[in-house]
Amino acid sequence: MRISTRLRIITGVTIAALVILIPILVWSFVEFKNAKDDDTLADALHDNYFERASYRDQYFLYREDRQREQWVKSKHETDRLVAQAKVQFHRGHDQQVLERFSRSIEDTAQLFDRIVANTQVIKTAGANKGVYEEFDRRLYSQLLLIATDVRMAITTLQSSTEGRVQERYRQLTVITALFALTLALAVILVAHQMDRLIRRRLLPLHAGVELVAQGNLDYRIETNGSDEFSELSLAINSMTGKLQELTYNLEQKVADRTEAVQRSEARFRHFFEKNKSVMLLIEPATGAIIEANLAAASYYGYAQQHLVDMNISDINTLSPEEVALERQHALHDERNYFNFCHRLASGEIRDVEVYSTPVDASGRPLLFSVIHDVTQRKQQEAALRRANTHLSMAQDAAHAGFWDWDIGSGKLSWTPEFFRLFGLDAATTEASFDTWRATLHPEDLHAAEARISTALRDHLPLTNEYRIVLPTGETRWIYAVGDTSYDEQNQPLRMVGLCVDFTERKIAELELDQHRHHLEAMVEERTAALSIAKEAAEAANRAKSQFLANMSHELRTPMNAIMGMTSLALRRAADPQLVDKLTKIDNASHHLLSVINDILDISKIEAERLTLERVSFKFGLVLENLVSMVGQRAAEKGLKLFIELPPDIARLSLMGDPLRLGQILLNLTGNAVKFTTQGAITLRIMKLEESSVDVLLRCEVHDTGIGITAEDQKRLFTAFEQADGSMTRKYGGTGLGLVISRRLAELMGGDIGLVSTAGQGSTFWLIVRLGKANEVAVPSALAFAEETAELQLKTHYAGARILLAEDEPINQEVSRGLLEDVGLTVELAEDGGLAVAMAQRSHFDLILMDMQMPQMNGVEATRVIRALPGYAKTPILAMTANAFDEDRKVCIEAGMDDHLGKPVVPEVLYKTLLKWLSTSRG
Amino acid sequence: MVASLLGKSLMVKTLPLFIIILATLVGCQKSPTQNYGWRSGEPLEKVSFAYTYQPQSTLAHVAMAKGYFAEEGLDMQPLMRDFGKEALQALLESKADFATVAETPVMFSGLRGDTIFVIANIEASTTNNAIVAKKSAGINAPGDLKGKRVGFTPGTTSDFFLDSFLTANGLTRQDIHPIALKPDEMRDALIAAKADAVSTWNYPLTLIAQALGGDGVLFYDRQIYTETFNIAAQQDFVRTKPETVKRFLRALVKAEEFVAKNPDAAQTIMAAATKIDKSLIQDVWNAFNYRVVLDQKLLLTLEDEARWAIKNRLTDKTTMPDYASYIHSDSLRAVRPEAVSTNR
Repeated sequence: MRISTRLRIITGVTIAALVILIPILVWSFVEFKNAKDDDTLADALHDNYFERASYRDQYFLYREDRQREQWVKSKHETDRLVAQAKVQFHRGHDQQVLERFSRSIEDTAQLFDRIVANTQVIKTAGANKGVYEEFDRRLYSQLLLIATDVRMAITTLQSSTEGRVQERYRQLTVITALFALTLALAVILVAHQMDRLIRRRLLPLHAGVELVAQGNLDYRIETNGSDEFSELSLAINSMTGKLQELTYNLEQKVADRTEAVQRSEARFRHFFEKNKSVMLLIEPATGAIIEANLAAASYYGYAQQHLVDMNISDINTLSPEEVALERQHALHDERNYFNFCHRLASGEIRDVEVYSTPVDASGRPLLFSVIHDVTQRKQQEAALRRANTHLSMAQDAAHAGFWDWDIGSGKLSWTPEFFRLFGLDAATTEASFDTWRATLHPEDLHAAEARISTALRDHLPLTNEYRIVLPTGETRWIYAVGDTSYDEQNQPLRMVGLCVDFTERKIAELELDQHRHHLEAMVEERTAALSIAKEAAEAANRAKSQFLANMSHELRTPMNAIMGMTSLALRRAADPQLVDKLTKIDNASHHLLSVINDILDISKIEAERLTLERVSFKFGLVLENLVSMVGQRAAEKGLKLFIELPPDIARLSLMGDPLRLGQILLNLTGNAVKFTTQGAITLRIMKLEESSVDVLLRCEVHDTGIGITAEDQKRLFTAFEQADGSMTRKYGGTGLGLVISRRLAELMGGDIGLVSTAGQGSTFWLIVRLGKANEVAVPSALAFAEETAELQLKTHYAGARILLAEDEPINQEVSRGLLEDVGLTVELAEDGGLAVAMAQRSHFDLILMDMQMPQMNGVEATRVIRALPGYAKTPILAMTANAFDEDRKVCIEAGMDDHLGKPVVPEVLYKTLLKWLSTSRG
Repeated sequence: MVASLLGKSLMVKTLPLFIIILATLVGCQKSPTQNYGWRSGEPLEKVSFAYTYQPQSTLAHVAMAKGYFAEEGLDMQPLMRDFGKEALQALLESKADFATVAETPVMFSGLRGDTIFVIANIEASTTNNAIVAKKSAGINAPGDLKGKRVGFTPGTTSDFFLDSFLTANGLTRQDIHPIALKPDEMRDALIAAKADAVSTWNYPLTLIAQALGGDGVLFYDRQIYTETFNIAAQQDFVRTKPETVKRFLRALVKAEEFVAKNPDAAQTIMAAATKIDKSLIQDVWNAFNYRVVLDQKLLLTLEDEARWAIKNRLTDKTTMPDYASYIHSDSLRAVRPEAVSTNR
């Protein structure tokens, strides 16, 4: 086995053993120290236990504060030690014992506290002192009991830690011994190896080497075995053999080297001779041509042999002195590149470039020159210069400044025209970006630069426009174009372009722009003025309508008095002449009321306060109502009234505002009756479209009346205009009906119109789109047919108690008269507060409530009354001059059951009273 | 390889030395603890053991169920009793060789002059005894017990705990109407309103509290009393059959180790052995400390209770017996030295 292998094995095994042993040794030390620490802590707990026991017994004996305080302090020390132990002790068993110990300590603390507390009780106890003394003994007994637990736990802990210390110590001893033993064994083994080596191997080797050193190259050292010494012996033997061999080979090598040099020279000559470039070797001092290759002979037109007899001055067109001077430059390596004119054998002069290098030819300095003919290139360059001159002249003629920007270097070049355009002196100013920026108008600088950046970034041709400020202070407009070239990586290389001054054209453009802007501004100004005027007009219109709506209340209140009083008087009058007069007043007041209603309707529409209801209904009911209102009048004039309602429409449940639809139809039919003296009036309903959700209906009212001229038709639907002013006088009416109808039709998403020829009757049509409802809750028909409401009230409800809340004296009288006429008992409240008080005092069958009253209004009073016991279902009806839909809504929301608008129509009042009295009784 | 490294002569000299050193070092290591067990083939010895259905007897049930007595060569005959006083009675009547019993009956036995030994304490608890009372009887606080009918089992821990509890609350036996009841009579007495409160232990304690529901109220005081449960045997038996006693104790030590490591399995054994719902066993489990020991605690408690019994004239004796002579620690010391911490 090799010695190095043996040593490696010994070292390796020793290291491995140490690598294993050292951590174990360290770990063992740490464990031993930990065990020792634990043991110290257990001892501390033990000492502390006895200290505390001593204080406990002292207290038991003397019952003084000193012992108690020391006990408590000692307990704090215990707590500290326990907390430390809980962190320090890792063994499961130790932890359990510690836990037991800690619990017992807490128990002793609590018991001690109880003993202290009981001691205080004993000091102040009376008759049952004996009981507390007994308790004291019991507590002490328990304290001692638990103290044994504490002591046991401590003893267990101590024996555990002591055991551990011993165990760790034993462990440490064993590992240390193993460690020492391993080291000793390694030392013994190494020493043994060394001894063997020196004695057996090294001494024979030394003797052999000495012999070889004395020159005995034939001696060979004896080798045996396979270790490093055998290898060394073999190597020395081999070295001796090699030395003999080397001596023999040396002379052979010298001969080989000489032959190689000769071959190299031949190669160089071939390279020179056959080269296609013209080459000369020149004597630098005299200019004599020493060597010339075949290419030179061919180029100059001399035989090769002839050339080597020539001097370079015979070829160069410069004077011999000048040529000599240049040769010196080349010889000293000051310059190697020359432009000369050489004369050929034919006499032709050629432009040549000469590269001349000094060479050393076996200690002799020569010039080695290579000559290139550049005649053709020179000619091309001259042509290019001429072309540039032409371009420059063209730019000058166009007053265009040319610029060339090498983006890589940032170098700019400008033509003289460019300098001139920018008012710069080409002689004193350098073409640069800074110079260009300095001339730019400050407002245009940023935009102009941005356009250049954009062109570069997006690979676009540059188009730029900016102002410059000349040194004279004059501002000029410049138009610039440019184009960029890019490398293979798309990086910009170069941008070239032109600038021209286009100030005159620009000024003309700007002036044109200014005129156009001025014109637009004027138009906007005028439009704004018109808009303000329009809004003002609309506001005024709304204010007017608002005013009219507010007037409603003020007009209805006296109208109620007039109509009510007339009605009352008529009911009582017996004299035919008086009845006639009263009837006329009644008619006139009804007319006045319809005029007021129309005016208020239109004012609501104008004030945009009219909203349509959306309830389910059937068309038949609308028509029934219509017939009940105009049927009488038509019959009185001897007119026939036909209604054509197809059954499929009659069956449809519709969704919309039946009152307003009725109002339109009533207006159209009423007009027809009014303007027709003989013949018939036909009301025809047709279906135009039907979908799953809605239906489009056309209603036509055809009459055989006076007809309307085409000219008058145009004005018919315009507010405050009738077909003819004389119509009003003859037929009465405000002329607002059609206007209202048209607005209502539009609100319903429909339209209204007419077809008429003067003298041949008219057909008014209404197209309206109505939604479809699922089903219609048809109001139960009340049995008014056989008996009038008035009669039924008198028959069935005489004596019913009605509370009338009304502040206006005349209206009080009217209402009271109408109610008492049908046998009802009326009690009057002059305001809402009084109405509430009266309702609280006694019970009423029905309450009629005005809305606007002093102190407490009707709405508020209704809310209070509704909350009173027994009034949850009593009918409360609004009777008020606040007759608009929104007023009605307010009443219903406050808890009222119905709404009667003033002026009160007796028949309507009686029907409503009958309905609600029967409901509440039923 | 070793031979070539060392050379033959060196190896012959050093190797034996090295081996001797190694052997010495290894020899220093601690030898494993010797494990005792019954040698198979010998016939089992027949002995009887009176123990109770109470949680305090858990080690007895576990040793039985796990076959530890058989492992120790004992053919164990179980005699089941309701509570420790009855088990001790079986011992005194020579129906049983061993009995589980709390210290109070042992204390009375000592006053009577019975010749028994306590050979081990197998359980200790400070929360096993309590008063359970009815709110409907006007008892909401310990002080309310005054003038009330309170049930207890005479001569048991129930008796002593009741007195301790009254004392702790400034009351005496004269302040209440004591009614003697067996543990299994207590629940019905409370429900039939024959008693307002009772002093008892588990499982009756928890079962009664559950039966009373919202009407029940429990009064504990873990600082006035430590209940111990012990193994008693006739002195003659202990003296004449010391090996049997050691085997018996070894089986209990095994049971202790099993209970400490497998509380859930121990609870299952208790549920099967006592026919008591496992959830109830788990509820009260932590109130008990199952360890086979003998310490000063037992002696202190016995003396404490004896003073009480003499003072309250529950016995004719007027002097305290030497309870230390009732405690036999040699057997347990032989089986488990570290478990003994009393110097008799």
